[in-house]
Amino acid sequence: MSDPQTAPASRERTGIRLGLWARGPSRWHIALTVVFLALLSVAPLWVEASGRGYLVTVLTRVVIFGLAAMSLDFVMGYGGMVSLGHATFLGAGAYTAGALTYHSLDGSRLLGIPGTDQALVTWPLATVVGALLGLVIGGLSLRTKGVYFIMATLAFNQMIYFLFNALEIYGGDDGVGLFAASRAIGPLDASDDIVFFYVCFAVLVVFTVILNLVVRAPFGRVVRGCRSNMARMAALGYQTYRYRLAAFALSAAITSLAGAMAVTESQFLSPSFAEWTESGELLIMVIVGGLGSLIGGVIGAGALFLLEELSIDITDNWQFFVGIGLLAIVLGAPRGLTGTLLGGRRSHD
Amino acid sequence: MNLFIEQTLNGLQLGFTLLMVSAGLTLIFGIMNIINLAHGSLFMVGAFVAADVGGRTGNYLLALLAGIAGAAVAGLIVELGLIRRLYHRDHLYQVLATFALVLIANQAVQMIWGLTPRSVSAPAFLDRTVPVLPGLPYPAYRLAIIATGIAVIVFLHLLVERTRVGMWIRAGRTHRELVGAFGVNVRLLYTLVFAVGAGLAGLAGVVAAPFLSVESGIGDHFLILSFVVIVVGGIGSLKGALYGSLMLGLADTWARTYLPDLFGQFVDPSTAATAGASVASASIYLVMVVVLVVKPNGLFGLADE
Repeated sequence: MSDPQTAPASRERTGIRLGLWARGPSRWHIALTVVFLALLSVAPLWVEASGRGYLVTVLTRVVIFGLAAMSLDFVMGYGGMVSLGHATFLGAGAYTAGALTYHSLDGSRLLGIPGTDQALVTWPLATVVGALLGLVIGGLSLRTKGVYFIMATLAFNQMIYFLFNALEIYGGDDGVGLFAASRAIGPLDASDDIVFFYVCFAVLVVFTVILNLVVRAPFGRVVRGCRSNMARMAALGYQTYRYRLAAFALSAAITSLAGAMAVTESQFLSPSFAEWTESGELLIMVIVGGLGSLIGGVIGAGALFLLEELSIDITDNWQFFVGIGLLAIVLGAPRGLTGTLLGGRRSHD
Repeated sequence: MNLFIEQTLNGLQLGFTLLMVSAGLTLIFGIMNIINLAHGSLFMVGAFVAADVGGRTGNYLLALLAGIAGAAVAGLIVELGLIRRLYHRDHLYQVLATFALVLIANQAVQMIWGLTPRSVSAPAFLDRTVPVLPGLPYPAYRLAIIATGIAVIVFLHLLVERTRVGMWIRAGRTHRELVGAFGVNVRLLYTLVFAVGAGLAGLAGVVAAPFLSVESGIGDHFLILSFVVIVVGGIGSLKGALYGSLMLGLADTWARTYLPDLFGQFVDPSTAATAGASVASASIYLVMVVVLVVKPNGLFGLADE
């Protein structure tokens, strides 16, 4: 599975088992990406036509959280950085967009700036905040490696979560509703759920293309090289720390954008966006969908939300079954849905 | 001055509670190289079993023993049923599998004990204050926790440094295969260490329960705090776990006590209270940031392999 020339030296236990598309996107991979996105693009029309219009918001959440999971897959599946703290950035984006929206409804100012609920302002701003926070947290956490990195990202996640909990102005741990906010995206009024779905879908498509290009670009090759064999990349003269940090910040920025989109979608701001279990759920989406495939994050989000939607009528304890299912996947089908779907050789550690 | 002594004791009490969780976690990581997110769930199991047994019998000692035993048995089942299969897997899959356990455990305690939070009360014989200094009464229960924490670290120190099992544990950290080659049943050793760590997490859950409301997910925060302890103290090091726990316990308690007052010197009281509280809750992570900058492998980390 791994490149035979680098495999023998790659003894670091913290290195990640190479994903299905370790050598970059194959033709099958691109085909799967296109087919899945095409299916997703007609899904809202289909559920609407079949009289289950309430599912449109679920599909929108698949798109938004799929975008976050995809950007987590970028650092994890391609960069070999197992982050158990990506909810930090989801929360950062949500609080950036949510706070601006809150102040626009309130008429008050945030650090002297008037609030706004215009997504063309809140979303890009959230992306920038995510990138900066990613630089800080990634910069500190990447000083460590392996299991320390996992623990450090999780610890920062908890810190940010408690900070949001302490923001009494936005309702503390209860959060605050922003239901009066408009869903203005430029001149477009996206208060209709289907319109809003397509806005989010367009964002997802743009970043699917961007990330697929990035992993094939020279930058992405260096990042992938760092996953396989950091010492070798350093010996080749690459500043591995900087490449990994840049990749982490890019991922944080996209996740933060997803957080902003999520708060525009739900019109409710609360610290639960940044809860550590949310980081775990993003990780589940990536693994269920297939590590190192990008589109797998969206497929995983789809699978998880579908399971939630299906089981919520039957049982309150759906997380119990998510846990069981996850165990089954980890022990039985470690390459996720896409990996199992596309078949191929079983890899060994 | 009395306030300072009182808060320092509170900090030590929190620190020693943390130590009970993180010592097991660091031993497990040090010897088995496995990251176990479900360690917080074992804390939760200890608290719930103690709340249940305590509620039925009204006997604190029985509840304590049941909590420890419950967590240790849960740990045994988890090790034999799952963790064993993960030793040679990548950390990512260890994270996922043990996160799955967290989801299952959090939901399972709700299915067994319902959604209503439970409470554990401190034992009657410790439900009083003792003067630690003339004119400074202090809750006996908190002192008992500190004493228990000291007993735990002495026990672990003797276990690791002075016994044959401890010798295997120390050897297993660096020369896993060799220990097996000398005829030590490494699997059994792992199971034993895991059960001891689980029992300690359960103990922490029981002793901390009177300060908390016993509900689903109560162990998660302690799990993450233990990770901070380990990042600060260094993986696999009991000394690191001890100093890390105490540092964080003191930092947290002192920051909560003094920061709001300190901020009050500069801004109005209500802003100071809010800002002080949020900075205080971040204080332990700030300790971690400093350590990450100065010593990325932790203060007492084993040499980086």
